[in-house]
Amino acid sequence: MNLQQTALDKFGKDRAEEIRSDLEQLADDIRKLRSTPVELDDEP
Amino acid sequence: MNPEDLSLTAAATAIRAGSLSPVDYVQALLSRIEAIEPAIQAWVTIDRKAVQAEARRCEDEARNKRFRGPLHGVPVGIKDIFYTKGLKTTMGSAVFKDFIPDEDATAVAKLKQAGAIILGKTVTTQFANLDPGPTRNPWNIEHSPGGSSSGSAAAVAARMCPSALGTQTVGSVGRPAAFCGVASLVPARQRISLKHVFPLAWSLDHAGIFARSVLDLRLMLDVLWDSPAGPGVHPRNPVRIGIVRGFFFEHASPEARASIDALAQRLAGAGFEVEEARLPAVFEIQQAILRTILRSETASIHERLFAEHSATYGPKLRTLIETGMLVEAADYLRARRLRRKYQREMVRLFEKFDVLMTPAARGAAPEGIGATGDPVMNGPWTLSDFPTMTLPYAMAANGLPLGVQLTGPPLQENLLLEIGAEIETVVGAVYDRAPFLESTKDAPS
Repeated sequence: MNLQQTALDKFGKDRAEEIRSDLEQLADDIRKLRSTPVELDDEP
Repeated sequence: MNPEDLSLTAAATAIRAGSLSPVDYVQALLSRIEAIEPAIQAWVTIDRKAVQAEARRCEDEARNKRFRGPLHGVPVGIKDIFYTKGLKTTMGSAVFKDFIPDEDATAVAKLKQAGAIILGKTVTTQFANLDPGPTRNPWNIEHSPGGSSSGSAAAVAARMCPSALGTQTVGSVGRPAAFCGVASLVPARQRISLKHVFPLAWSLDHAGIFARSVLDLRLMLDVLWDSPAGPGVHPRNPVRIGIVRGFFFEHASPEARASIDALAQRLAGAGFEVEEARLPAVFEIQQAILRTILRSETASIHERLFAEHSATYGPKLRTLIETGMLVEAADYLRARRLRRKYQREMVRLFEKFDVLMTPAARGAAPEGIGATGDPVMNGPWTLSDFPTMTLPYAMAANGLPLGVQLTGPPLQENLLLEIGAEIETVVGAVYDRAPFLESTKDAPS
């Protein structure tokens, strides 16, 4: 998962740089979610 | 007493008793709005002629002892993301500046059926996110009223209407209520219909109520219920309050921490059982869950609009949408599944407690209107979908109100209201007229 690269491709270099801290937070959030186990009963 | 100082319940009762004329009441509120609105800027749209005409109809009916419902002739404010038939609904966005819905949101229709007069549309931040509108805090206009239901909270605090509707996706009712010194209630998501309310994030959006007493919150909820209350649970005797420090105290100002501890002591002295509640381990990821759902759903909702009108979007909403575009479907679903786990583990707190108590905001309203404050105290409960209430309970050193947030068990709004009313008698009403308005009532703006 390279969000910075995806953002660069999607929004351009300047914008990707502007939202760098938000992208870092998003990456951190997703890392936390992926490392927390869920059970089959936990329906969305 | 001036009509504008009446509570919702007192006004409704007086109209029914024939001691208050709906026409005079509406006129008193419109005069107050005329005097202070230039300074507060709580309203987007008020159709004065239509409001006065509706008040005359209500008055004629009341004279003939015909009452539409419990709110007959009482004016209320509506956040400008609820559709109102024939009345401009802008969502705080230039894209919708001329949008006039041809039907009411279900919640608005219920208020009308109960006899309420729609006084006007109150300011929302852009699409109910974090980019602020022009509204100022009636306690001190140099401070934020909070958001996103900025206008509703400010209008109720400033005596421009006795009650108003808002919405909360993270902290958009509890936070402005705390900053403006009014009471608020956010019931479970299913309790008040969101049909024809512009969404920010479908699964997190909640409707909420602002008023100046717990009794008034109950009256509004009685009208707005969209799902039956079910069997009521009464509080235990003594009522057991869990004070949640941990995360909430880490994010609160020293003044807010000390004030909540002082409140806990007062409540214990008044016969409540107050003990510390410990959060489960899953609480550690609540912000990650909430942000992932919020980003993803907001990006989906705004997919088309943003593509066509991105230049009109505020910086915070723009960033939220752009980061939401990068969330993969599997991660969104994982966040939704972890929300279930979070709800399941958080509900166990109520095995020991009737209600949970935290600060409603980091502290008093922050200075400046360039931001609406941090919803960090409210988000965990919005994510849980447990009903929450905010009550003003003390004044900060800078003269602005502080709010306490009470959280009840799932779907137990009546229990929360019952306990909230008991707590209100201990803290006393901090619903006094805002000092700014007292001192400059005749010379605003």
